[in-house]
Amino acid sequence: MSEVLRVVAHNAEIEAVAKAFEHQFERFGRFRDSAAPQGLLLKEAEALLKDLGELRAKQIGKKSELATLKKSIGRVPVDERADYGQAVQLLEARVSLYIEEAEKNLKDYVLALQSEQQRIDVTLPGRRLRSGHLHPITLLRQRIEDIFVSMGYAVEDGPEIETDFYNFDALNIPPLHPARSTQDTFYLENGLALRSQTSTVQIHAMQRRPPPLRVIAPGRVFRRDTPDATHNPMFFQVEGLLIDREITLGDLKGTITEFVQRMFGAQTRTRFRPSYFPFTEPSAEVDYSCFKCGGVGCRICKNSGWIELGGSGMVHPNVLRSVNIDPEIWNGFAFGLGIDRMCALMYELDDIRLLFENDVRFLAQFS
Amino acid sequence: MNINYKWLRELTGTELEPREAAERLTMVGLAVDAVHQLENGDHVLEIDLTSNRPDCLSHLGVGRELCVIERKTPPPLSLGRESTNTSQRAASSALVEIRDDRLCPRYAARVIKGVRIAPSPAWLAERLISIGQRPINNVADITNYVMHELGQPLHAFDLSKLHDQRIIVRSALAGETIRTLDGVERKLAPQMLIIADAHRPVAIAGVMGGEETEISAGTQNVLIESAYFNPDSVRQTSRELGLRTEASNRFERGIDYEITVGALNRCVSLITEIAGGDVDGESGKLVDLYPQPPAQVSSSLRIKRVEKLTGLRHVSEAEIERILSALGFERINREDHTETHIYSVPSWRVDVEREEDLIEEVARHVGYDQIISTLPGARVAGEYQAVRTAPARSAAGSVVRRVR
Repeated sequence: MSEVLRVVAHNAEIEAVAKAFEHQFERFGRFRDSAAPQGLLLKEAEALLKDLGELRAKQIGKKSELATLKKSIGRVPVDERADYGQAVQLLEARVSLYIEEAEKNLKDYVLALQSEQQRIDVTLPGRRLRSGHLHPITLLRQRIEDIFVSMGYAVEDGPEIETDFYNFDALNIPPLHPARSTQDTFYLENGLALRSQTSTVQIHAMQRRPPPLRVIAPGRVFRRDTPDATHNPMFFQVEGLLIDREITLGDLKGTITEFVQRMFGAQTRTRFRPSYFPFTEPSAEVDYSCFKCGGVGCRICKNSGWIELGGSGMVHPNVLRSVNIDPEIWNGFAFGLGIDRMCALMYELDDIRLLFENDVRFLAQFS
Repeated sequence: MNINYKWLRELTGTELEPREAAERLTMVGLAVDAVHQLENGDHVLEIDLTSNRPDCLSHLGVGRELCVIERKTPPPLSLGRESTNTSQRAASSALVEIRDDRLCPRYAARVIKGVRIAPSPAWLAERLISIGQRPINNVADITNYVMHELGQPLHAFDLSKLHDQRIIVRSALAGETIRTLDGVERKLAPQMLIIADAHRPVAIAGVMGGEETEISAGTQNVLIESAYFNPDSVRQTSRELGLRTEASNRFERGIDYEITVGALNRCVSLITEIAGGDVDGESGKLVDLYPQPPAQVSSSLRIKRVEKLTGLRHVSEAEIERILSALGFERINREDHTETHIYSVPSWRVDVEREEDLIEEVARHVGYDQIISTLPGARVAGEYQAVRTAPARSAAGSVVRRVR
């Protein structure tokens, strides 16, 4: 009779239904074993479960074969009805059992897989908010400001676009002086120009503050330079100006030496060499002993032991007169330090253009 | 600026080795960027000169500084210091006529007849090459040599190619052109100063000579020009034409008014020695038109101010005078017993006008390293944000608003 269901029935219809079920259940049969679903993909198992559900509806539901069998009991001869009824019940019980077993194993498996997939490791740390940080030039500028503010200097500022008066006339640069040439300065259509040194702020400061005064002015300057590893058309300077009575070159030397020692350590030395700027007289170029090798000579200082800091000098009397300060009563010194190169050397950058290109990958290293 | 060490040593008798000399020159303000050693054992100093020291655009100028450093007497360049009582307070002569003496305050010339054009002797060519110059022929090279020696740009014309054999110094006329010695045809503008002969332009004054009158293999008679041209005029002409030369560079910054004749004579004497030629007779005589020598510049110096401005103590009055006079500044009020000296400014120092300039001269030769560091006393606390007492107005600010 029915080998799988092990239902013995002396009725052809019952046997037919039993056989039909066996046939349809064949592919689900193995899932009566709980280990059977292992290895199935989730999709496969879910599909099987669906099909099994359909099979159950077909076999056991209202319109199923079994239901039909039960109704047909009326056509069975009376003396066979008891056997018939028993056989149908047994069939029903067995079919339900088999389907349930397979369904349960498949369901458990599906559930297990789904849980695994949706599992959250609640011990993981949360996502951090990324925070910004300061540009290396800003960091350097702040450090420089700190040093000078502690020496009584005020931080001043001025426009980046200037008239001839601030750029040249007040700084004692006469009309046909090469410094005015379009080769070096960016002129705008209306005759204004981008400032080529922060010395312009000296004039603004002296106009705003009566002497005695001490100011520094960090800021952008612009020169017609072809960009390369050590030059850029836009770069940063820090200007310094001190006006008081009876100021000497010795005061200038002392101030700059103090600054350099606070930046790079007490063992740092300075060297002043005579030079020329239209707005200072006497003028000097300032070097400081290499912070890396101490003056012995290395790659940073190009084996000379010294690094250029910038220009300086005693404020030219014509400059004082241009802002109505009497050079017989007041005098002072001024200096201009280039900070991009200092920054590049301190961080051992090969190319100062890195400081201006705003590549986040580069800047992120300074947090 | 390239300086040949052996040449410098010849002029000054320096006892410093090249690198020492370089170091000492740097510390007085003539920054030597590099010292190159040549194949023949000689050395060349590469000096990065500041724009205020055109007097150092020559071996004489640098030599002068070196002599002050070593406390030697300045180069005996009477080579260049010859008396100018031959100069005429006139603007024209048979040979030369100056039509614009504001643009050309001094013009000197000499004629040499019967020279033999040939390549320069080895010593001369080598010296020029060592400082980056290209030898051409003996006469042209000598003019170049003397320029690098004394700082006076000189030009040699083939006399026979000058119409009427005379020179007229004038402004260009509208439409005039000239083919310069680099072979380029150039249009001249009316405000440009030119050297012309009786008919046409033969040189752009202070910038470059013309091709037609240049010295060539067959030249026999030469006219050597030694002049002072107005710096602003040369600068403007040079910019407009886009033509910069060793000569224009020097004229632009201001050369020495008083070296004109000395340099000319030096050049002529080298030419007759090397290329032969005759300077006897009327034609060989010096023509020096110098209608209005400029007034002597002088500056006072309050001795006490040296220490007051520089912080240098213990610089004696005698030392101040020694340095300044070694540099060429003569004390003109020595008889006065006063603490204010008055010094005449030598003709080659275009950058010295006032007391501060003289103080810088003293300070740089005493040595900036002698200045002791001090700190000015504190006054007020510093400020991170400027406290404005009045709103800052700038022209730039208002332009920006308009643009927006």
